[in-house]
Amino acid sequence: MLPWWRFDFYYGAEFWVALVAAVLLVRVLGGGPRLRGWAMLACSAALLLAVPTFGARDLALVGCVAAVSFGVSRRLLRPAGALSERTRWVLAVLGVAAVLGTLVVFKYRWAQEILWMRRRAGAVGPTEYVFLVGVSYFSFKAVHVVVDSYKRAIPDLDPLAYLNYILFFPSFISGPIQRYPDFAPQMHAPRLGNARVDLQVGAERIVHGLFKKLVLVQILTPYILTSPTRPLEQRSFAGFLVGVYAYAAYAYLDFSGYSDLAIGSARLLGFELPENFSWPFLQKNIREFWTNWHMTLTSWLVDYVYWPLARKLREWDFFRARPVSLSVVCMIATFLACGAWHGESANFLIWGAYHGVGISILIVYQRQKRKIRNRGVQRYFSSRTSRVLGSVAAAHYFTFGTILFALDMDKLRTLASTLFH
Amino acid sequence: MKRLVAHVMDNWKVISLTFEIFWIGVFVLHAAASTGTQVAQFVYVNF
Repeated sequence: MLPWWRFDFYYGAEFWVALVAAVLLVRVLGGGPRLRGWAMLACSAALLLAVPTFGARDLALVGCVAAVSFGVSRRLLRPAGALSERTRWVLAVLGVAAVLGTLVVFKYRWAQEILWMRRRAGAVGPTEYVFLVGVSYFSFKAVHVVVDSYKRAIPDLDPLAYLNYILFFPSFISGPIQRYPDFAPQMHAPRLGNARVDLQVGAERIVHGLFKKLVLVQILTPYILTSPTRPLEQRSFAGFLVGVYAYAAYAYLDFSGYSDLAIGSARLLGFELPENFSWPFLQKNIREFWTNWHMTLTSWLVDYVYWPLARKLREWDFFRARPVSLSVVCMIATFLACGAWHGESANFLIWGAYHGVGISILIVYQRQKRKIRNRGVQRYFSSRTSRVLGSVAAAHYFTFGTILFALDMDKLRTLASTLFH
Repeated sequence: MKRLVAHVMDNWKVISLTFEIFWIGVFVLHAAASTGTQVAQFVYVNF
């Protein structure tokens, strides 16, 4: 790629100039869906190749994953009777395994260490690791398409729309994770939406995102728990608390700001992406919090981890007779998967378990709540006070959970020794 | 006072966007003026 064609997404003048050029190209050529599809694909490829850590080989690898998942899904969508149910199941498992294999290999150091060590003896140098930008997000999309094709929840797959779906540059790096049945009709629409409305709504969204990222996040950065200017050992207890609250606010503003930029940029191009955040800190309990925090990931985990596991476990008499235990086991397993996805060190697993246990406690509490017959207590449960206290508790549960997210095991040990000695 | 509140509520979108654009401008100019200042990468990009 040309040496000057390198820039990070969403900040820096070069990205915005390239986005304006893409908007003009897609909207000018957007008369028909086919031409628009090719224009969109060319823009996505060109902009992704500008990402400093993404090259032509990476693009080819993503293309291979797209080709494999598309081929498998197309076969799964053949008319009933064309393939036996056993063959369809094997195909779906192989398709999901191929995609998840790519995710594991290009996301986790331990997987690369196993592969590299097998090829040659000796330790892996820090520069030898190969990570693939956006691997999580395009893998989630591909798994969704394979599984939903197996369930025949997707009516049809078009190669150009599918490639655009996987490579769509505004959401390629960090989502939101759109579902194919939401994306394809927008790609196949005879005309793009009203340009004036799209440009206005998209531009407003981009301003909100830039304000969060360039102003609010920059103000918070020096105070967060992981700030290099304020090491953990030098913080007082009050300074530590400020760091925890600042980190939670920082994580929200940083990622919801990113989501605003992705949603706004897509809208400029005439595409609507799903929302990723809806006032999570104002929700009445920790389960509602998660339903409104990184919503597209949460719903993906519910559809492709929680429910398949719950359906499988329900086949056992033990869990059929104990629905609460079933929910608790599935919830903890889902959040462990969520933690493992966020990072490979042990603190992320603990963080996942923390949230799985938190929601499990809520499930048990809500079941016990319904058994209370006292009218005064029931009136309190449906009161505004109960709701406000629930919101405060949920927000604090999440906020203090960010300690497990932000600090690795060594720093957590340092923190424990500072706090308890 | 009531008229002022009503005016602000009626024009909330324009006022908030102007406020945001002003501060974005201030922070971008500040970052451009101070060499070595970089906007941190998005937290979730590495996931």
